[in-house]
Amino acid sequence: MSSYYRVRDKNVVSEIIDEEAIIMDLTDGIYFSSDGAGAVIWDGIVHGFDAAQIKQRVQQAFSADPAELNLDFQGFVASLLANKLVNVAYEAAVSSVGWSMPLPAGRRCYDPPVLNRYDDLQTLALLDPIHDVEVDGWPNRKTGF
Amino acid sequence: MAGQIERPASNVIASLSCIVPCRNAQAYLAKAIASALAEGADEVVIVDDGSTDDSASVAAAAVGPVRIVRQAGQGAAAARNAGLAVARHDLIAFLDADDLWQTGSLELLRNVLAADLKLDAVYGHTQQFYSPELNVIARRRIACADGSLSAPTCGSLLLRRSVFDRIGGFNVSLKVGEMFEFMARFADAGLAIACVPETVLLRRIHNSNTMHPDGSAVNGYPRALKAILDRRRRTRPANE
Repeated sequence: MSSYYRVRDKNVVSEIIDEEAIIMDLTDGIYFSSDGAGAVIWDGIVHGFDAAQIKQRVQQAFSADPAELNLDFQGFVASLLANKLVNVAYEAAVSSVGWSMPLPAGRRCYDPPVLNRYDDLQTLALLDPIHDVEVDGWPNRKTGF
Repeated sequence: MAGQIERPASNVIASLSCIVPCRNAQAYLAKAIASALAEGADEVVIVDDGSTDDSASVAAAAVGPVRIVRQAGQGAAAARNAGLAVARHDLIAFLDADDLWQTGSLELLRNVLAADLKLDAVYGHTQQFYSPELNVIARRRIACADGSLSAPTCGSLLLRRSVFDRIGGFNVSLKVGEMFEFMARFADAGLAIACVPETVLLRRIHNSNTMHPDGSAVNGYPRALKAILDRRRRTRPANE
């Protein structure tokens, strides 16, 4: 049985910001958010950890009942798969060298993983010149032509 | 007539400032300025955001109601805000330095706003085109969608100045996605917008503006989305 999930491709962009995973599918402009355990799980997937390592990390961060966490993990991953944000994999896509999110100083109350989905910016996102700009927000190379 | 909504209108066409944010656009800037003036902009405000090429000379050579604002490179959002700060007129349009307006587009958009004073903004469609210097190989490499696209981007929009008084300008902390962060604020404030089916913006596809999907710029999108979500959480009524 597979124990890895991979981010679908480069059209799925994401970042963990203030302990919240913000994910966007550039192909349709739909975006997602998840905090609590969901952010830890997404962080683990992005960084190439397997399911067991991710659940272990969640348990290090939260006081989660293992059986409950296992069910929640499956449900969360099912949501990611249903929204085509990840694919099932049989090996890591990247070497699991670290996590974006540090562990909290102490274990927190369990915050189950929930994937929030938003479609209110689809039209804008599809035409926004995001595809056409440098990192500083300008369409031209800084060196000119 | 039954079923029709009476909407206040005005016979007066408000005057218009066109803001052209610019960085290192010497190859295209003159045509953008000419397009804005030909479309009847009452003033063109060029904001040179730290160009290191000859954009400043091109801007200085422009003839007509053109003003130039120079600033150290602060990004497109800050450049648009700098233009807003000095714009003198009641209608605001933005034209990127490498783009053009379709003939008749400003008149069309101005008439829509004049005909309905309850509208805060209006936008038309965008048509992309290959810049003439692009060779066949480059054109194969860079996708350019056929047909017009309907979305309120900076260059396809005409806004009343009062919009910025209500919701502020562009979020300068964002280097990408600042336009849809702005439009999310626009929508959340309940402002009114209309769309016309005509193409108003001709968006140039050239060698220097396409990085998708391997460019690092796309990685900036989540920051804009986070800003939208956080603002909505801050302003959401406590009982929701």
